[in-house]
Amino acid sequence: MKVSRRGFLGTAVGALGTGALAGCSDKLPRYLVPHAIPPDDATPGLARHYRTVCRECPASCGATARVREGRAVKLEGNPDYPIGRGALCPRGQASIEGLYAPGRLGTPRAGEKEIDWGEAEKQFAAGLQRALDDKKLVVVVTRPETGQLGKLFGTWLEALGQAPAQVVTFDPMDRPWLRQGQERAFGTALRAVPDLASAKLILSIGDDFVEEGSPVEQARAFADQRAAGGRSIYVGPRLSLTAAAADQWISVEPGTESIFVLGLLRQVVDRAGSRAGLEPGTLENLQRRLAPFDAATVAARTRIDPKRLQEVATALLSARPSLCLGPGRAVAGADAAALAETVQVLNAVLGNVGQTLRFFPAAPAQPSMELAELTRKAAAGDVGAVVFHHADPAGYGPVYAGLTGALARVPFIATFVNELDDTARKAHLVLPDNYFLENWSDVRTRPGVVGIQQPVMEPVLGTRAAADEFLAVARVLGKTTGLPKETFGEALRATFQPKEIEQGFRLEEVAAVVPSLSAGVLAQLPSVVTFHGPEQGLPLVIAPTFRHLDGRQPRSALLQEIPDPLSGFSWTGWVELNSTTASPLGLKTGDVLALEGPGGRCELPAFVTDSVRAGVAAVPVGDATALLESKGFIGAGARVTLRRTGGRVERSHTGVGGAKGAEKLVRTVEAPAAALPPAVPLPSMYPPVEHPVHHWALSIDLDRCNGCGACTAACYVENNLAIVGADQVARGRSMSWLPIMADVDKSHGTPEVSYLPLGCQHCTAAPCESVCPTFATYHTPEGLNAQVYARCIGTRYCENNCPYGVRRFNFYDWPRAPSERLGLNPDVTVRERGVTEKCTLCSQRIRTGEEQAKFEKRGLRDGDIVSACAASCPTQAIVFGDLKDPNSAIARRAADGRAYKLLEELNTQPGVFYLARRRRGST
Amino acid sequence: MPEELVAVYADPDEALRAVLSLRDRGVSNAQVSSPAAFPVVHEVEHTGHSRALGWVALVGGLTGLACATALEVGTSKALGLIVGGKPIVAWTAFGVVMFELTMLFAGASNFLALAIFSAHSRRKVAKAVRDLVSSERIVVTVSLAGMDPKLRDAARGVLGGALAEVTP
Amino acid sequence: MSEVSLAQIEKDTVATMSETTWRYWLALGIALSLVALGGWAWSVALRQGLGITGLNEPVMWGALITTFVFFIGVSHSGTLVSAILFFTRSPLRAAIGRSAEAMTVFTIMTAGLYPIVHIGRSWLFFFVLPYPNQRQLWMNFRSPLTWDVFAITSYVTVSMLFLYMGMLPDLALLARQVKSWRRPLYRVLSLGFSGTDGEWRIFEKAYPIFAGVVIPLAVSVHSVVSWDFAMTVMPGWHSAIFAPYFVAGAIFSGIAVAVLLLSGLRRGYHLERYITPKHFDMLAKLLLAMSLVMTFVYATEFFMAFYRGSKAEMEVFRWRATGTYAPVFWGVVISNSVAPLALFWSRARNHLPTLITISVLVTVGMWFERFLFIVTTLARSFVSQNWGNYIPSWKESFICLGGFGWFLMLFLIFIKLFPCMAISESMQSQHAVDAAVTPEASHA
Repeated sequence: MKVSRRGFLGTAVGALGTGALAGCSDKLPRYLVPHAIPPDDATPGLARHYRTVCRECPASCGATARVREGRAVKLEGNPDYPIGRGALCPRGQASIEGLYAPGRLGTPRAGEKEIDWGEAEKQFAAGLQRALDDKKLVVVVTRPETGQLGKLFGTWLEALGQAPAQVVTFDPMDRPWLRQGQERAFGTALRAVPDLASAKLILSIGDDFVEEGSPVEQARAFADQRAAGGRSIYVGPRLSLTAAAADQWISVEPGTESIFVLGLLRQVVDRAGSRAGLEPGTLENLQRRLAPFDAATVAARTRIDPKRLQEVATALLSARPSLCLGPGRAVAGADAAALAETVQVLNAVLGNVGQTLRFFPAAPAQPSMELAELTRKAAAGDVGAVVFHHADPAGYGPVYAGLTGALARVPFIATFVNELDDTARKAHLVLPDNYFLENWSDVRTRPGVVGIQQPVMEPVLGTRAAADEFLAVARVLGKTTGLPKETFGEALRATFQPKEIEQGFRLEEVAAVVPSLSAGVLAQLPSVVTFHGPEQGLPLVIAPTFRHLDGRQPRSALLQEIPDPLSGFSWTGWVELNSTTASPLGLKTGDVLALEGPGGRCELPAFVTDSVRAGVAAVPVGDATALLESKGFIGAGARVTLRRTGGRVERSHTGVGGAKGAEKLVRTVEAPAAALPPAVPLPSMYPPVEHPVHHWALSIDLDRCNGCGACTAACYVENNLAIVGADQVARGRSMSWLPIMADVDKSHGTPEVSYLPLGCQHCTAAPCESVCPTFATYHTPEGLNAQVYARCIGTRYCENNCPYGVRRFNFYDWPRAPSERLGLNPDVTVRERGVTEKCTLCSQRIRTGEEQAKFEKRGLRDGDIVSACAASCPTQAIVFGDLKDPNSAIARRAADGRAYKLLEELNTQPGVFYLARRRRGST
Repeated sequence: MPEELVAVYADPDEALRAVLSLRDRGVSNAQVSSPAAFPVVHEVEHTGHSRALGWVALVGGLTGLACATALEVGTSKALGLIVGGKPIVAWTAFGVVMFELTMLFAGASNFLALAIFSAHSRRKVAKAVRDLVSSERIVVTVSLAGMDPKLRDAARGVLGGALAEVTP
Repeated sequence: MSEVSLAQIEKDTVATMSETTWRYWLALGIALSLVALGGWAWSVALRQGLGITGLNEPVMWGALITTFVFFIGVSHSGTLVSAILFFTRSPLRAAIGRSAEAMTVFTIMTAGLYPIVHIGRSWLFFFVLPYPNQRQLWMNFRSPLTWDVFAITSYVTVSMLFLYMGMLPDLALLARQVKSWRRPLYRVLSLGFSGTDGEWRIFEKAYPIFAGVVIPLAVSVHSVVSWDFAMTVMPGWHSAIFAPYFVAGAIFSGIAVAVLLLSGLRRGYHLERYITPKHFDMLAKLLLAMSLVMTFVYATEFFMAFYRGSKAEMEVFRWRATGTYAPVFWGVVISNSVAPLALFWSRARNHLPTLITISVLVTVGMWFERFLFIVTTLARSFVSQNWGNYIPSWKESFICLGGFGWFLMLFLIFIKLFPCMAISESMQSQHAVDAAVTPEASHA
C-alpha cells in the first residue's frame, strides 16, 4: 500500500546488507563498462539499439532497447511492430527500472537461505523427483506465455512423464468474459481484433481500453478516430482516462449496464433490425427477448433520462460503422459473459462485424489446466510440485485465496521471479530468472504477429534464464525426451531469420473470418450485477490504472511516484467517492478510510470527486484485490463498507486545476469548428530574437492526449529524474519535468476532464532567464531554454518567475540505490541538491541526432531527432521538431487553426504550443 | 621663548569670545581645536581643501559610473548570451547597477578625501596641542613666529589667564 | 536635554560602554541563544539540503526571503532617517542618529545572510560577485538579484562609512580620554582626527555630501529589493507601486524597530535626559504617518487588481484576503493599519508602553506582511494546477529567529565598543540649546 521512498530504500539497503553478510556484496558488477574486451562493433559513447518485446503486460508491444556500454538504459517502442507502433505506455517505460531494481534477486534461495545455482538445481531436481516418486502431479503455473516457452513447459512436463496439459496460465488481468461472450454470440472460439480507428462512433460499456487490453495501440487508434471526426460514448460508473477522452460519459445505476445495453439493443433492433441481414429466426428471437426493455423501463431501472437512450441509439444507427466494446472490468459482474454476448449482438446488428471488429480463428488451443482445477487438485493433495513462472497468486490476497491456501498441501514449490513476491515467500525454492531484457523468448499475442524477445544485454546479476533451468533440471533427472539439447535461447533463435530478429518480429498470413450470430443467441439475458458483501456497503468499482499495474508486488517505484493525474495520489491507492456520497459523512480528500469487502479489508485515503458516480466506491485494481472475494477474476460485484480511521494521507497540492476564477490553460474548439480565434501579435520593445538554423519545439495535441503518463515516465527514465518518495511528493517536491495536469471543467454539468502535459515551454522571451543572476539559464540559438546545472546556485528566482510553474528544485541529494545507478542515462547529468532543473527538450538527443547527421554527411531530416516524450506518446499527441523546417510535422501543426500557446498574453513567446481540444458536446 | 601661544577653555563661549577679541585686535592667525563643531571653529580663518570635496565626489561618482558601464557592457558582450528575449546590451536593465556604483564610488571617494584632506589640514597644529583637546578643553593657538611684537602682546593679553604650558 | 554639562554628555555615553548591567547580559544571552539555535538549524540545511524547509513547488521563496526583505526594510530608517534629520537640522538626530545608523549597518549585515542561507549551497554565493575568473564567466546584469547584490553591498559599504564618519570626532575624543585597551583601538580608528578648525571645516563640508549620497542610495536599495518582485511577471508582484510601497514599508518597520531599540537603550542606560518623551512623540507621529501611507498602499493594491481585471491577479488578492492566510492578512491589517491609528491621540504617543506595544505589533506585522505578499503570489499564480501552499518548517523558523538574535547580538556588541550616542554632536547641539536659552552668552 503506502511505501515511502525512504522506507523502500531502507529495506533495499538492508537487503543488500544481508547480502553482504552472505558474501554477496559483489553481486553488483564492479566495472563501469561491463565488457572486458568490447565487441568489435561497439564504440564506447555510442548507443546500440536492439529490438525486443516489452513483457510488462500480455499485450507485448514491440520495443527497442537503447544500450550504452553494455547496459540497457532506455526502452522505446518498435516503430515497425504492428502492436505499439513505436510507442510505449508508462508501464513499458518504467519496465527498465526492474532491471536495476534494488530488490532484484541475483542468487537462488531455499527459504531464507541463499544458495548457489548448483545446489539450487539439485534441490529443484530433488523436489520434482519426490513428486514423481509419490506419483503426484507436477504443475507449471506461468504468466501468459503464448510462444515457444509455453510449448516448452508442455514438452518438459511430458518428458517428466506428466500430462502436457498441466500448464496453468495465470493472468490476473485476464478478462475471460469477453472471450466467453464472443463464443456465445458466434458459436465458436474467436480472436477479436477491434479496429477503433475506422469506427465513426465508439460505444464503450465500461471498457477502459485506454488503460487495459492493449493500451498503446488502442489509445492511438482512438486518437486517430477522434482526429478523423469520430465520436465516442462511454457508459460506466467512473470517469476513467477512457471516459475522459470520450465525448460523452453516461453513468447508469451501478450494475445496470446490462439493462442499458439491452434497451439500446432493442432500440437498434426495432429501428434497423430488418436491415441488419440477420436470419429471420434470429431477428424474431431477438425481438421477443428484448420486448421488455422499452425505453421507459430501461430509463427507470438505469436512472437515466429516457431521451438519452434514444439519442445513443440514433447516434449508433447514423454513424456507421460504429464499434461497441465491453463490458470492461469496471462493470463486469458475475454475468459479464452474457453482457459481452449482448454487446457482440449489438455489433452484429449494427453491421460492425467484419468492419470495425475483425475476427480471427483462435489459435489452436494449447491444452492447459484451469486455475480452479489446480486449486481443487492441490487441496486434495494430488499435486506433488508446483513450479511458478512469474506468477504470484498469493499476491492477490483473497482473489486466489483458494489456491494460496491449497499450496500449503503441496510438498514442493519452486518459483521463477525477478523480485521476491508473496508466492516466493511461500516457496521452497526461489530461482531468480533473467529479466525480460536479458532473455530470449517470443510472443504471439495477435493473430499473424510473432514478437521476438531477444536479450539486449548480459544479465546484471547472477541470474539465469528460467527456460534453461527447466532444461537443466530435466537433464539432472535424466528425462530429456523432446527437449532441446542446446539452450532455449539458441533453440529459439534457430527458428527465426536473422532479419526477423533484427526487426523484432515475424508476420504470418492469417485470414480473417466473418462470423454470423448463432441462432440461439441471447438464450440467457444478462442480469444486473449483484453486489455481495456487507449489506449497507457501497458497490465497489474496480478502476484500472497504469500506475497500479495489475496489482503486482513489489510495485515499480517510478509508477508509484508519478501521481494519478486526476486524484493526485502517488505511492498509495485511493478510494474514489462522489462528493454527494462523501459530504454527508464529512469526508474530505485524504481522509483515510478502512474499507471492508467480502474478501477482506484495506485502508485507503478518500478521493472526493465528481468524476465517479454517486453511491459507489471506486478503487484501483491493485488495492481492490484485498477486498474481493475468491472469484478467479477481478471485476465488479463486491460491496464495501467505509469507516473513517482518523488518519490522513496527503497528496501533492499540484496537478489538478480548473477552478473558477483561474486562468484557462486548456482551450477547446466546439467541433466541427476547427480553429481558435487568431492570436493578436503583441508588441515588444525589443527586436525579435532570431534562430539562425534550427528552432526546436514541441507541440502537444490536447485532443489526442488522454493523460496516460507515458511521456512523464519516459522523461523520468531518459533524463535521470530523481524519484523522491511518498512524503516528498506529497509536499509538492516531485521532480517530474513533464507532469500531466488535469483540467476539470464543470461548466457543462457533467465534469469534463482534459489532460495537459505541462513541461518547460521553452519561451523565446523567457521570464526565468532574465532573472537568473548567474546566467544559469539562457536561450540557445536553437530555441532551447537551456539550464546550466554547474552555474546554478539555487536562488530559485527562475522558478518564481516561471508563469507555467515547470521548474523543479533539488531539495536534497535524492537517494539512489547502487544498482539503480547502473541504469542511469550516461548522456544526462545527475543533478545534485540545490540545483534547479527542468525539461531540456532532450538536448542530449538533439546533440546525438545532429552528430549522427554530420557523421553521415547529410542535413537533418524531420524525425531524426525525437524527444523521449514524443517518442513514447501512444497517441502521437506530442510531436517534436524544427519550426524552421517548413515541411516538418511540427511546422504543419503550428499552422493548424487549433494551435495556441499557454498564457500568450504574457508575451513569453513559448516554443511549445498546444492544439486545442475538440469538444463535441453531448449527442 | 615659545613660538606659539596655547590657550585652553572649558566653555565654548569663552573660546569664542577669545577668538573674536583676537580678531578685533588684528590677530587673525588663531587656530582652534575643539571636541565639537562649536560656533568658534567657524570664526577662525580657514585655508583648507574643503571646496575640492564636492569635485572629488563628483569625479568618484563618474568613475563608478564608468566602471559599471564597462563591467556591464563588457561582460555581456563577452558572454553574448540571449536571456529573456532582451538585447545583449540591455541599457534599461543596466541602469540600476550604474546608479549603485556611481553612488558607492562617490561616497567612498568623499570619505577618502575627508581622511586625506583632514590629515593634511591638521598638521598645521602641533600634535601636543591637539592632544589637549577633550570634552572640557577647547584649545586656541596663536602662532607667534614672525608676528609683530604688538600683536604678540595683544594676543597674550587676550588669551591671558587661559594660557597653558605645552611641552612639545 | 536640559541642564547637562558638556562633560556630562561624554560621561554618560562612556558609561553605556563601560557599565554592564544584568539586563545587558540577559539581552546578550537571549541574542546568543537565538544565534546558536539559528546556526544549528542552518547547519542542518547546509548538511542535508533545503528539504528541511517548508518550501515546495510552487512556493520556492518563503520565510527566509521574508526575513531578508524585512531586515532590508528595517535598515532603512537608520541611515535614511539619520541623513534626513541631518538635513532638517533636527535636534532628534544627536540622540538617535548613532543607534539608527548602527541599526542600519547591522540589519543589512543580517539581511545579507538570508539570500546566502536561502540558496542552500551557501558556499556558491560568490558566483554572483564580479570576480575575474579564468572561465570568463560573469553574472547577469539583467537580473534584479544582481542589482540586489550591487545595491546592498553599496548600501552596506556607504552606511558603514556614514556611521564611521559621524563617529570620527567621538573616537578622537575617546582616544584621548579613555584608558585600557580601548585607547589604541580608538586611536587607530579615529584616523588621527583631532578637531582642529580645518578638520571641522572639511568635515562639515564632507558630511552633507555623504548624507546626500546616502539618501538616494537608501531609497534605491529598497526599490531594488522591491523590483525582485515587481520585475517578474507574477500576479500580485508585477506592479509599479512596489518601489514606493517598499520604501514606505521599510521606513515604517524601521521606525518601529528604532522605537524598540531606543526605549531599550534609554531604560538600560538611564539616558532619559537625552532620549526624551519629545523624541518618542516625534517618532510616533512618523510611525502614524507611515501607517497611513501603508494603509493607502494596501487599498491601492486591491483596487488595482480588481480594476485591471486580470484573472490571475484578482485570484491572488481574493485569496490573500479570504484563503488559507486570511487570518494572517487580517492580523496584518490590524497591526499595521488599525493599531497605529491610536497614535492620533497624544496620550498614546506619550505613553511609552503603548508606543512600545504598537511598535512590536508593527514589527511583527511588517514581517508577516512581507510573508503574505511573497507566499500568496507564489501559491496562486497563473496555473491553477500549480496552486499550492506553504508553511515554514520549525528549522526554517529557527533560522529566521537566529537573524533577530544575530542583529541584537551585533547591536549589543556595538554599544559596548562604540558610543551609542554622538558625543560631539550632542555637545554641539547642547551648546546651541544653551545659547538659545541664554542668548547673551554668545556674542556678548
